[in-house]
Amino acid sequence: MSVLPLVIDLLHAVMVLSLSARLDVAILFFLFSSALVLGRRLAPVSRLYLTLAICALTFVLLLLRQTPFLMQWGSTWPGFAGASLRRISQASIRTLGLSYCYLRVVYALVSRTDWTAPGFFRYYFCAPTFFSGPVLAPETALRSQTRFDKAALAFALTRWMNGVIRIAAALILMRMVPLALPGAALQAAAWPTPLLWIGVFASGVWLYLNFSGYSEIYIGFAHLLGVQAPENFDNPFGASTITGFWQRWHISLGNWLRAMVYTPLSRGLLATSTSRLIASLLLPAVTMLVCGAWHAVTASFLLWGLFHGVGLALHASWTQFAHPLLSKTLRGHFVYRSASWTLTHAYVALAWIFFLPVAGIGYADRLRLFEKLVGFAQ
Amino acid sequence: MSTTSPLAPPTAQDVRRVLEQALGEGRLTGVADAKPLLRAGIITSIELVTILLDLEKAFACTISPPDSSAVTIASLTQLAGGQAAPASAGQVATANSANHPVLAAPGYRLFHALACRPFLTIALAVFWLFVLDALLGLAPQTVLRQQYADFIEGGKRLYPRGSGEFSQDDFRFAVSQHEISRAPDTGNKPGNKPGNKPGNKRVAFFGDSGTIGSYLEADQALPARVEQNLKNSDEKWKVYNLAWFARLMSKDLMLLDAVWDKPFEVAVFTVGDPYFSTRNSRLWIRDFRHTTVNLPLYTEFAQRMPAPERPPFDEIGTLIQQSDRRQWGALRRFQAAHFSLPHNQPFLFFLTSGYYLKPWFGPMWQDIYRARSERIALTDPQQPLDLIPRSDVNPALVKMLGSTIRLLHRRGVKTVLFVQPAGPRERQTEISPVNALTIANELCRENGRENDCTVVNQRWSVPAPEFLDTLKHYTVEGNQRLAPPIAAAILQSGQEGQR
Repeated sequence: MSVLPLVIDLLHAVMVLSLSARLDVAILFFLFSSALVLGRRLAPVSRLYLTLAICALTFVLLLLRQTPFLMQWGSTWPGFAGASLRRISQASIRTLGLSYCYLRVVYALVSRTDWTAPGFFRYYFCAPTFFSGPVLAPETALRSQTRFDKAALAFALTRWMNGVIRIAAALILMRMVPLALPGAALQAAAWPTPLLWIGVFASGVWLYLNFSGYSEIYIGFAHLLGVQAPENFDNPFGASTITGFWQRWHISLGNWLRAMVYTPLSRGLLATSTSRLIASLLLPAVTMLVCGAWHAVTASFLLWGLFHGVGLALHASWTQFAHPLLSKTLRGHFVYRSASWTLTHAYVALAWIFFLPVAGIGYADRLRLFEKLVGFAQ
Repeated sequence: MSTTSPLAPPTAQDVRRVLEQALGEGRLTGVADAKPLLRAGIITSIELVTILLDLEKAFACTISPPDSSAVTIASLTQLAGGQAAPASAGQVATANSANHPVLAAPGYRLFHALACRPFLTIALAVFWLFVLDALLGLAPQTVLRQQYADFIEGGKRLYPRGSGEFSQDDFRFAVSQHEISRAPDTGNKPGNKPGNKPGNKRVAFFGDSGTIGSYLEADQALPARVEQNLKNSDEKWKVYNLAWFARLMSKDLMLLDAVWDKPFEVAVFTVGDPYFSTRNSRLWIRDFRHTTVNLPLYTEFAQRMPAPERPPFDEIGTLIQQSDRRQWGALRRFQAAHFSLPHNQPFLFFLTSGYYLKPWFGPMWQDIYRARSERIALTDPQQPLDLIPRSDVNPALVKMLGSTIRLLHRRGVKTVLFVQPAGPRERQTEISPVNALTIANELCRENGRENDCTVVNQRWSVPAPEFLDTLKHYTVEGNQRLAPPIAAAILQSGQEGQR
């Protein structure tokens, strides 16, 4: 067995851990995840084990992210459990990349049962995508092979240049849009409504430039290290339906949600007597709620997820019932497509109110902005 | 994702038939085997799951869904046939990096062409950066002269706009843009020898963000108000606002060195408890770049001291050096010495936010303007007073102040120590025992007695409504209140100088 891949895997881990704000938390989460993933080989009832493992993992993630509802609820518990939760809520235990680790570990748990310790180590610590994706499927990470050649370097440089330019544009845009900085978000309530609409849409563009810029850099870095990371964005502002938007925005997370949440749930529902219509209305909402909760279990994020879920369900119904009634020519018409694009991005922009900025303004402030945009408040 | 199928592999036609049954006749007419079904909106996600269930039933296999971009009739055929899941669009054709599908996109083609010739690209980029930097250096003196004059407020302050948004770090450059550099050189040109000529009435006023006049116009700042008061006695008085944020003596000494060969006859130093604090000086020197990047000025100033008085300067100097290494000070000085960008970056930002894209930067400007209307001392809970325990006083800083006053005295420059407000007048009673002399005042009085300088104690002069967004910034009224006693002290020191 060659020593080089092992050394490279170790280098990945060192790189990642050296950037972790809390080394102890990062290592403990890895050890816990490893126990769950490797334990699956020994579990006699695989499905029950899988459910319990995912529940335990989710609980630990919520704990480490000091999720407010859990901390408030848990602090009322008597004895050691309550005291521990109170201590955790006051400690500084946050570290980078745990949310993405969670996605990878769930992928690992669900997708295969034959994990070996070195294999999982390689998958878990894949450095270029460790902190903020793209979310790798296990096969992608395990297929990786570090190589340095001119073409790979040129590819990486291309992605980096693209990424740097996007990030620079995002930095310029950051001070102009209302939902990038907490102070600006509070003042935006006084903007005239049309300007606020433009500002909220531009906030989405800012987030896209920023996030896709970093994704470009991570993908370039991953390519250089032989990891074929999936694309994370594909011109989401070119989408003219909300379903299309989610097929182009944070694609790797979308694929994860489809594989880990949507498909298993819909298989389960469709296997029962539940109609396809009910499934197509219910499941997007549930999936997007999970998506919101993954970002953070707060009212704002859950509402954001639900809002998108409702949008996806409405679009699914529209596709199912209205499309057959409309001619292909009409659906391909410029006016139809323009209206569809405007409606989609107005809807997405409305949802950003509950998503951005991540911290700094409260739920009530967000609702005020939302009401102003939809015309309920002046 | 893996699949299992014990039967013979199905063909695309078999799969198409199953799909047609699930979706209805005609839905797949004219759809090529390689066309992405989800991405093109031909099927929905729930239909995909239905299709997968039907395929599993038809071909007795288990299929996990492929990535959204990889759902095609061809890929479903592969999956139904028990082959490995095909990679998504981003992962195909990766064996050869040069043919990656992403590189065909319009946004990437140029970058890839450049990346294939990295040395040429770097050389070109460096060349153009030099050209742009040179143009940037010329612009404030030529095409953007008017905007630049507006930006630096005609050189009335070192730290224009007083809000923290538009600062560069190089004191020498700041001084070169300041009005003191244009002052007629009629006296005190210190060839290391006092050279005051009677009739020259120029004051160098050092201080922190309160002295700068943060969030106020340059003419509303304390030095401008002092000048107004002095002009009541003689029109010839001129007060230079040489303040820079941070309550740090080492920073003021750097600034003093930067104006060392400029003409002035009186120096006013703003002082308060934090100026003598060991903890405060360590914290500020560690955290703020401008307090270390001007290290050569500090070193130069320390060299001006007689050898027996240098040890306290060396003690603080060591601290600055350590912090300077951590903050890559040498690199920053190299940049400042050879490029225009470090100096002009705040101007560029001002140009963008204050001129060309001003409406877009509305929130930022509103934030700045809003600070003018804040009255922090009237809010609840009350802000803590910036006081230090006696144990925190650093004797080196006290000695440095004394040495500096004596050095200036030897050059014929009189010194006034302005003991800045510690907090609202109403909270004076919080200090125990009531009306006790505070540390800064005590130290300044000692220094004043020993070194023949005037001390203006304004520690509790400002009432609560005259503080702005912090207890360090004052309103126009606050500055108007503080100015007359300082002007009186300057006049007094001037008369003593004449004697």
